[in-house]
Amino acid sequence: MKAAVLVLLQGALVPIDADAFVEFASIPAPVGREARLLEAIRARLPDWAEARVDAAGNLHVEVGPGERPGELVLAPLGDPALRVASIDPGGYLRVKHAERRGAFLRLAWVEGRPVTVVGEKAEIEGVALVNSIHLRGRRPETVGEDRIWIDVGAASADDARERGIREGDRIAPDPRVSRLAGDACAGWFVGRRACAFGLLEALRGLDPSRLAQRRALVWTVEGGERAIDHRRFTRMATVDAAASSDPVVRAPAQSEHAAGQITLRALRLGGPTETVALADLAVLAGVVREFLETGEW
Amino acid sequence: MVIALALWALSDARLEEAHETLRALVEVTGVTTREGPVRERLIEMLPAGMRHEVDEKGNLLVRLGPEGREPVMFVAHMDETGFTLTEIRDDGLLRTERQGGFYLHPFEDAPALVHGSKGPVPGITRRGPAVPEERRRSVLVDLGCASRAEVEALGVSIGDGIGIPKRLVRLSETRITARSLDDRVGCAAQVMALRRLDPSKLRREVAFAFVVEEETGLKGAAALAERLSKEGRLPKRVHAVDTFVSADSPLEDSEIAQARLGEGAVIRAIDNTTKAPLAEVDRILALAKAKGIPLSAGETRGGNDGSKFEAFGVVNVPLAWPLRCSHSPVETMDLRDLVALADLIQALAEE
Repeated sequence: MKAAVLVLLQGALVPIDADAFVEFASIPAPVGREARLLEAIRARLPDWAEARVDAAGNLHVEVGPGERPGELVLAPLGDPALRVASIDPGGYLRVKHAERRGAFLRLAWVEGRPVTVVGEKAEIEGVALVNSIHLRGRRPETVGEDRIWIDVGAASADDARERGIREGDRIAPDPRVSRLAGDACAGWFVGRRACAFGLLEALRGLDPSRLAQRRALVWTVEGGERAIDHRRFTRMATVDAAASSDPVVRAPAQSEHAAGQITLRALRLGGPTETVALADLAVLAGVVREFLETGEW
Repeated sequence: MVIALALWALSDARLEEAHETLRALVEVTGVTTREGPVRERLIEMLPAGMRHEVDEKGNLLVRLGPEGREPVMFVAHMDETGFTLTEIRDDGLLRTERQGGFYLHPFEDAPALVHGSKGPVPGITRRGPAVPEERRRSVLVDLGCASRAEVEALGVSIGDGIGIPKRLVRLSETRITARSLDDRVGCAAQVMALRRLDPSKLRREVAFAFVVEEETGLKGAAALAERLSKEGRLPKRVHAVDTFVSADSPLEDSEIAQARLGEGAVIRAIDNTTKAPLAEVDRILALAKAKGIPLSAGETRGGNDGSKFEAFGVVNVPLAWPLRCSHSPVETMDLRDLVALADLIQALAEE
């Protein structure tokens, strides 16, 4: 049974440009600061796609004939992040989690690593301090917000503000994505980002002349899903990543799709080495394209 | 602590020279015992016509000035902490051995680069078995391969050096962060001083050594001192040129290591291996003051390469620059301190 499903799925592959995906996945997009990623999506949209941004900041694309789309596919954007809670007189940034609930960054994976401060207008590189081993300082068993000090090279709080940093700005962890052998990619939030990219590539792979009905695709920003009137649609699906304990990175194509959810499997979900297989992403994009074309799961 | 700031003029051109010199050295990797790429880069950066020698251990030595006359030597190290590959498992994961002392946690679940025969191979590190940090020794590396054969096909083999992808980031006009600033900054200071020296005007022999295997026990310097002793070519005075691990960080709670980033070079008057002669410390502080070079003296932790010459009766006064977050992926320093250190080396060479 599984083999038959896989054969069916293989027929629906959408080719994935690995370099383009790595570039896309390396764009910092902490919750509330998804603008640069939205720009990257818009820049990659096919000419024939009709795009608009709603009041919440979500990016909508509608394709196919008709006035009103019956089906909707959503891809959430906005990665767990920190926010600048205050600026220390010495120019260091003090932080809080950006979210009040849901997924949080594990701070033990932030300490001693590069970060990016994402403001309304600019991105500024920084580092989260860590003890020097020579001085024998030990970190506590639990790394809390009070343990995180961000150095952006500012000599004072005024200096940091002159560089455009404000309380509330988001702090994203190291955005680098590693491309591994076997077409796997690893990095913070690479699974969710792969889903956003998969939706985009599914759209790019569409032949608009084959569409029988109108469909909607939406990339949602922080809190943006609340702005979507679900009652307008007969069916909707969210494309998102889910944890997998599969120890093999280069797993066979394993996208699963069911009503309401199209899932891409990711290893080590939510950590700095979250890993997805591009082969799985090609299948996911193929499934989404097929749904957009036929309305069938 | 004495600080001389008044006379020293620092131009944008010198800051840019410091930045470019450092960038060229940071972008190559030289995990302990695998320093070859750093040595090759240093040789490329030497002023034209400057002769050099590489000994059996792998140390690089440059000599200037009248041979045998009151020789003075500066010693920086080429190696950096990291991992070496010890086993390729049947499932394609790599076992590693830690080279040098560092906290593992910033290197766990992180990007990695294995420096194989076909070039760097990207991977990710994974934690070993769930044991307390102090008992963990190293990390596993995952290249995305499912078998030993797949790994070997990438040109990866036992003994390869493993680091993290490195990038020199300029946090501000003068503040720099990167992995392996320890001791590429020392190497850069020596290169910058070498470029400004006129060998024909030197009144003494001046040697610049770039040594291997500092991070695992000062082994390169020990071999160099031993060899020079046998050859009767020991210097009268040696200056290790290495980091001054600084407590200039809100995370550190230390009564020593009080040297702020951006306030100049530092004499490592006391560390774990050396107590520099006070008269020499005072003399160098006075020289720096006369030249207007910002310099202080202090106590910090760690050993230094010059200490391996002390057993042979050589006076050792380690020179340094303040470093924050030592042996981590985000080592941080100030370019002004590098320029000051280069100027101090030049002044001592021209004495």
